Amino acid sequence: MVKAALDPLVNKTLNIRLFHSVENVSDLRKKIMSGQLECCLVNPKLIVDPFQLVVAANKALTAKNRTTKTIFTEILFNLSVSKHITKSLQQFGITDDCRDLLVVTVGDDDSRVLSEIKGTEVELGALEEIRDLGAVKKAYKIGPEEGATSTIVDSVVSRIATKDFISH
Amino acid sequence: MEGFELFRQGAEGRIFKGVYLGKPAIAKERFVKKYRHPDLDSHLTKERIKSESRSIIRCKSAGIRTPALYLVDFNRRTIFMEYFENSIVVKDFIAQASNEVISKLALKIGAVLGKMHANSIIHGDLTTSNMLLVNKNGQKSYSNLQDLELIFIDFGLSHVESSAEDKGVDLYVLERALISTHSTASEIFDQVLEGYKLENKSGFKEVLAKFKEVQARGRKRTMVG
Repeated sequence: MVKAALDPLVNKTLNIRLFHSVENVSDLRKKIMSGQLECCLVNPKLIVDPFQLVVAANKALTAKNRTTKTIFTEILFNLSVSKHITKSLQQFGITDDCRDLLVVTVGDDDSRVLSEIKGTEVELGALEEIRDLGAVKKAYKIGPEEGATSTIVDSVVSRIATKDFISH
Repeated sequence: MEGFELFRQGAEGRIFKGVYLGKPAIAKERFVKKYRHPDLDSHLTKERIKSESRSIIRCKSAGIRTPALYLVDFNRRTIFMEYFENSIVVKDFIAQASNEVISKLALKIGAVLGKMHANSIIHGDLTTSNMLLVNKNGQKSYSNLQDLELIFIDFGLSHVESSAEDKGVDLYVLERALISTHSTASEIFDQVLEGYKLENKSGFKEVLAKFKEVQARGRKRTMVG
């Protein structure tokens, strides 16, 4: 897992965990949608580096006004460069047939969320095998010229940071 | 600002250095201008922060390395962005480099600048203090130009404009900056133009003509008649 400190103003920690072969995905989704489970499930295919989630979550937590209903949907929304809420949530969220997933929680203790997940936790380094760089470049509209100079993570987080006023 | 220390101070704002989200970062905060109406002030600041971020992203898309942006916060009037730890300001690099190396570097600067202008980005404050050389291997060594990557910073005065006039002025600002800081300014600038020509072939002639015009009259257009 990765624990990341967010903006000093927010003064909260972000917990990111990666799970393999999760069996109760549809159950988890239902619980999140009904508000019983306070976490955000992200499709690991489009995540290059945990830092990508840190920047998106930090933006969600420091924002004065949110675009979506909860902090967790806001994280998913921020991950996408699209301004379309449904589209963003579908793009970065998970579907019932996903088996690998990233679990993002806010706060010191994420044990309640953890107890609900029926799957194996793995190191975040395993992201490297799951992520689809081609799909990431497409999702963030990173062309070949840009890929040659900046690292993908830099390009991705810079787009997330500016999504509300630059159309990518 | 918590965890940050003052790094630079300018007329428009302050730059703090520290660690943000676990990365070495700078926070660029723009001052509240007390002499302006608060609404106008926050509006202008917001627009400037937006335009600075926009240019940084636009450069990235064009393949020009710029700092990564971590958070743009209009309430705090601050941009949090990447700090390059293993870097040297081009100004200091030139002061200690041989003429041969400087000439190669100038060519590189010109090429990146040509690319920037070809993509309609006007930097607005081209000086050798606003260019960094970063060691690609993460070491604190700046002896081999081939290991160094050129990075443009401070897009605070930048804008997007395709006119040759603004590009000419941009070049003129660089020429003046070179003259005031480096003894071999004219050689450096000639090389910059050479590099520029390589990356902005189609626009070079027109921009050069405008540059000569600006050189003759100064940065501001004459408002007579």
